[in-house]
Amino acid sequence: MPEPALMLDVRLQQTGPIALDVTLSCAPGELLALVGPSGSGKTSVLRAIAGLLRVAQGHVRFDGQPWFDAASRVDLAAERRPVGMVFQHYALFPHLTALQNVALATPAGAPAGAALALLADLRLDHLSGRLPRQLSGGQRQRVALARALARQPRLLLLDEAFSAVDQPTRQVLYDELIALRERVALPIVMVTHDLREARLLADRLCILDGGQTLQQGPPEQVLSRPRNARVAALVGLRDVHSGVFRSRRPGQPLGRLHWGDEATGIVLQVPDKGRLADGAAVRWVVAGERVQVLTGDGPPDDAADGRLNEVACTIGRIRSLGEVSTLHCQTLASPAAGLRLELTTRHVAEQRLAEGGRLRLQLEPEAIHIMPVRDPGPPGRPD
Amino acid sequence: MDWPALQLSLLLALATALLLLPLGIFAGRWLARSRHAAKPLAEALLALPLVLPPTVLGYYLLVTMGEATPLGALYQRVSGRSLVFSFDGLLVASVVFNIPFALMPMQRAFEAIPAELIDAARSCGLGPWQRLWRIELPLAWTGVASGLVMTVAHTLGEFGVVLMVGGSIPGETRTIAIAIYDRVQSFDLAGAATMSALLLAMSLSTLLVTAWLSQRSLQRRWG
Repeated sequence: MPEPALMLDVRLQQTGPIALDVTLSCAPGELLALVGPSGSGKTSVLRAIAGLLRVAQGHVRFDGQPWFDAASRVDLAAERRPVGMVFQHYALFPHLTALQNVALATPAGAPAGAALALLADLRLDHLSGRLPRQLSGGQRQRVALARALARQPRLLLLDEAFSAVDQPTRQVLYDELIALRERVALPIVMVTHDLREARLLADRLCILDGGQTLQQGPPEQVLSRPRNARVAALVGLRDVHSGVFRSRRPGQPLGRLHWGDEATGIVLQVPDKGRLADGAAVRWVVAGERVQVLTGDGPPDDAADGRLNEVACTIGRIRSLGEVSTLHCQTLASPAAGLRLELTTRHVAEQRLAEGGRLRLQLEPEAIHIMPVRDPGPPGRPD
Repeated sequence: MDWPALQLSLLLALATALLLLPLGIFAGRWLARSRHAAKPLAEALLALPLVLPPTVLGYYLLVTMGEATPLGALYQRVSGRSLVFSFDGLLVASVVFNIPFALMPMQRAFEAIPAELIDAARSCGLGPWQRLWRIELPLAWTGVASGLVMTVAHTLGEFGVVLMVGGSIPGETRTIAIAIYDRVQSFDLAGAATMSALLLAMSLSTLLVTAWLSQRSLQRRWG
C-alpha cells in the first residue's frame, strides 16, 4: 500500500539564537501534538511553520509546495501562507469586536455573513458586538478559533490554545475541537505541555526537548515504548526501572531482564530483537494496563507455560485519588525493586488490598519496553 | 498683540506637524520593531535636538542651508527662494528641531503594541499596509496624536533656532516667540504680557490634551 501523501513536511535546523534540530510531518486530517517542556522549542517550530520565525536551514513544505526552503531562498511571507493560528493568549485585536476580529481574517471573496456564521458555529453569535475585554477566557479562545478558521486555512496551528482557561472550560473546548475535526478535515499542529491534553486530542505526538525531535508516533506507542529514558521522563512515566539485559540463549524464544542488578535475583523474560548487547545496562518500563494483579497464594493457572513473569510483592503504600488509587509495591526478592500500580479504588476495595498485604504481579513480556541507557542518536543528546 | 506673528507661528506649527506625521509614523514604527545594529545610533541621532542648545542646532542648519552651500544653492535653483532667513528655511529647521518631540510618543505607542498582535495580524493574512491601517494605527493613535500636539506646542514656543535661521522678518520669519522678545527689547511690556499669556494658555492646553490622551490610552488597554 502506498504511503499517504505528507501534507506538511518540516525540517528545521539552526544553532542560534534558538537551537533547533527538528523533523516532523503531518498527514491530511491528522492532529499532531508537539509536546515538550518549557524552552524545548515547540512554539518556535510553530512560528517557523506559520512564517513568523525564519530559521537558518531546512524547509517547510505543504502539499508539495515550498513555503520555506533555505537552500533555494524561498520564504513565503506569513500573510501569504494559508494558515490559521490560535495564539497562546489569543492575540485578539482589542479595538475590534468579536465579529470584526473574525471578519478581518475573512478573505475578500468570502460570502457576506461568513464571519457571523463562523461565530454562530461556535455559539458566539450573540456576543458578536462585544470587545475582547468584555469576553471570558473561554469565549476569547473560541473567537480566536473562529478567526483562525475565517481565513479558510489549509493548516491549523494551535499554540498552547487551551492553557489560559480553567479546567471545566478546557473540557468544553476540547469537545469543540473534537467536533470541529469531525466537520473539517484540516491537518492540525498543536503545541502543548499538557500530556493529558495531547493524549486526548492528538493522533500523533512529537516529543521535543532542547530544540530536538526525540520521538514521533501515536500516543499509545510513544507512551508505552519511549525511545529512551529522556522521552520516558518527558511523557511523565514515573516508573522507569533499571536492569541488565541478557540475550536469549540458543533454543530459547526470549531474552532475560534482570530487574535492578543481577544480585536481586528477579529475572523477567522479555523479547530479544537483537538490538541490545548481552549484559547491557538498560532502563525499562511496563505498560500498566498489561500488568495483571493476582491475590491469594495459589499458583496462577497458566504459569506453567513459562512465559509469564510472576513477581511476588508487598503492598507498601496505597494512595487514593478519588476513582483511582496508586499502590506502591515492593518485590519480596529485593526491597529496592518496586513498582507503582494504578487501580480503580473500587477494585482495591473489592480485592481487599491493604497496606502490608501481599499480591502477585504478572508482567507480559511484550508489555516490557527496554531502552538503552545511552541513546544511540546524535552525541550530546540526553538519555 | 502681533497677529501676523501668531498666524505665522500657527502656520509653521501646523506645517511642521503635517510633515512630521508620516516621518514619525514610519520611523517610530521601524524603531519600535527593529533589532537592527544601527538602531541605537539612529535613536541617538534623532534625539539630538532634545539635548543640543538651540543655537548650536541653528548654527549647523545655517551653515548647511546657506546660499553658498550645495543644499542652499540647489534649493535656490529649484524654487527661486533662499533657505535662510525665509519661511521655507524656518520650516526645515522646525522639522529637524521637532523630530524627537513627534517621534518619541509615536515610537512608544508602537512599542506598546504586543508583538503577538502583529503576528496575529500577519497570520490573518494582512499585509504591511493593512496591518498599519487596520491594527497598528488604531492602537497607536493616541501616541501619534500626542506627538503631533507636542510638535505644535513646541513649535509655538521655538526661539533659538528660529532666531538663528530666520531672524525676525515680519510676515516671513517673525514668530510669536520672537515677537515677544522684540516687544520686551522695545519696552512694550504690556504687548509682551498679552502674547506671553496667550502662549502660556496654549501650552497648558496642549499638556492637558496629551495628559488626557495618555489616560485614555491606558483606559483602552486596561479598562
